[in-house]
Amino acid sequence: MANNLRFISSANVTFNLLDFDYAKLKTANFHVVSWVPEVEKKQFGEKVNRFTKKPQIFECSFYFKGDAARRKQQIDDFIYQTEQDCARLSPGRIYWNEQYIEVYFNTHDTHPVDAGANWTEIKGQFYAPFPFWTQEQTLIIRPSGQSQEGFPENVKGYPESRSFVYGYEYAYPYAETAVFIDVDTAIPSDFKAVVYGPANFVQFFVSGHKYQVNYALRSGQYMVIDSRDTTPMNRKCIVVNENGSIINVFDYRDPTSLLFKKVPNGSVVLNYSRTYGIDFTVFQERSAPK
Amino acid sequence: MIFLTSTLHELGEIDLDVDAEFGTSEAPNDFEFATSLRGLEEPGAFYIPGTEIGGLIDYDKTKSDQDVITFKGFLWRGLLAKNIIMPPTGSDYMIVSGEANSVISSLLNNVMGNLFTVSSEDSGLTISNYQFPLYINLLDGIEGMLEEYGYRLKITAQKIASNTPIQILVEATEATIVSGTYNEDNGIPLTYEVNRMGINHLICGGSGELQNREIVHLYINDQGEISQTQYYFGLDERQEFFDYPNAESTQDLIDYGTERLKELASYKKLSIKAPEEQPLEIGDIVRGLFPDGSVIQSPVVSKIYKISNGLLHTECKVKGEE
Repeated sequence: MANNLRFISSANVTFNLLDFDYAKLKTANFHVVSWVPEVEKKQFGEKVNRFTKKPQIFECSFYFKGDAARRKQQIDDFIYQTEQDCARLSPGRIYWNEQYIEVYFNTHDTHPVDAGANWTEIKGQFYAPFPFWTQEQTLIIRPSGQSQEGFPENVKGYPESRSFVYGYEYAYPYAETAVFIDVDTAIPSDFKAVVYGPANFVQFFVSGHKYQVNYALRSGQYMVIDSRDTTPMNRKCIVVNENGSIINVFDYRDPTSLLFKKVPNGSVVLNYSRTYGIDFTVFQERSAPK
Repeated sequence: MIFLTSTLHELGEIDLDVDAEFGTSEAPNDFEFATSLRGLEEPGAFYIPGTEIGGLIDYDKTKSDQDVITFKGFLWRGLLAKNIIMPPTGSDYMIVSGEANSVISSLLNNVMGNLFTVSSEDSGLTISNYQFPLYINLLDGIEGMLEEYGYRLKITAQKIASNTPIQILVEATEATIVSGTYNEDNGIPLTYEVNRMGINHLICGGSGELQNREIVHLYINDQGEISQTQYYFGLDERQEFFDYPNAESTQDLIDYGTERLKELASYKKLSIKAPEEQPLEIGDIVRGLFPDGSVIQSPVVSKIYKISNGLLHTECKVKGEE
């Protein structure tokens, strides 16, 4: 159940979908899921080669309450923001607690107000081109010996030198250079790694798979490796300089390293030398919000 | 797949649908794909590491009202087909001898700015006084040379080191022979066609009118030999008329009539298709054994790659396959 249900437009305007002061959601089928089989016809039935997903449509209706002028203003704000998303080809997000899905509110119809009524109903649909709900889990790891700002440093059972951030439900350290991450999904997940210089080269392992870029980071530089399809090709492996300028360093990948291989599901191990800091984000994707 | 700069440095990885067909020079040996323009640096080439799939982008098309760009070009193998083997100065033919990779290396030296790297490994094959057909392209020339020895041309593109151009490795390797016997479940589609519906008596009409028209009777026997002696009679005889009023002589009428009767006669035909289940490469051999003891074998001459929705489909064709 969602006790925090929001729509945030691409212009970062938030609508609380549980609150009549914004756009109160009356009905929505956010838990609809459809896997489509790709099959070969056989004499008896079919052979399933794999399952795919089509973009998801969420039918929904909203209530807007209050006097006519107030309702008109609320509806105008909501429609303006969602239409801007479509015009800019930049989706908004529906947040279900900590999970989100990127959507366009691309179809809607406002019902006429009955005389004397103090509410207006809008029926429409959200179109989700990528039909998965995502929950981001970010693990912040600093070089050995540096404090983990914002988190207690003394963890029962672990010496201070193993000062990983431990306050997560989904990750815990088991050695100075290794941490377990619980990836609670049915399918492999995208990730984003931000590596902070200085570093002679960047190398880390996730469940034995090597991610390596042979580029020397200076102090003040950081490298971003982002596996998501939605990230433009020339921004997937970059170095950001202190002045904000960007260098595409994909060509520096180690020939033996598949750089954007997704993180497997289940309990995975992230390990590396810990001679530099990493912010490691796993984009856990589920068909329906939990 | 990975986009490359025009100097073959890696630009970035992207998932796209691609159609690519390569093989001998009769195959298109080209590729085509379309992608959104957003976030795209101008690529000069593409490849899939560890495979032959890749090539130089020589064509792009954009439309002012669409956020899509279409790229086309020749695959690595196709680029070989765009270079001709010339006889050395003072020689009538190009004749080569030596270890196969060394021979290929000398042929590719200074071709396309040394785009290709030839393996320095010993292929195990020694070429002896091989004479290339005149003005043949590099692809057909090398493939023809290797085929004669049961070898094939292997091309693989891969990254060797960080921040360096990718390597397009060319080498001679032994062809795989895949055999199957007719009517056995071996995954090799063999067709054994016996057509007894053919003509065995062709009445050829040459110049002249009515009863003065020149008429020659041609017959075919059970060995496929054509003569003017009748072989099939009664229930077995099948006749057809061949109208050739412009025949310049009796021999001319017989020559054309013979060709026509061969086309119309009964026949046994053997054909073979590339098996779907087995991984084959260009130059590999598919061999079929038929009930009458006949053997047919044909090299794989074309391979089609389709990447669609992240899935790779391949399809091979052997020589003569429709």
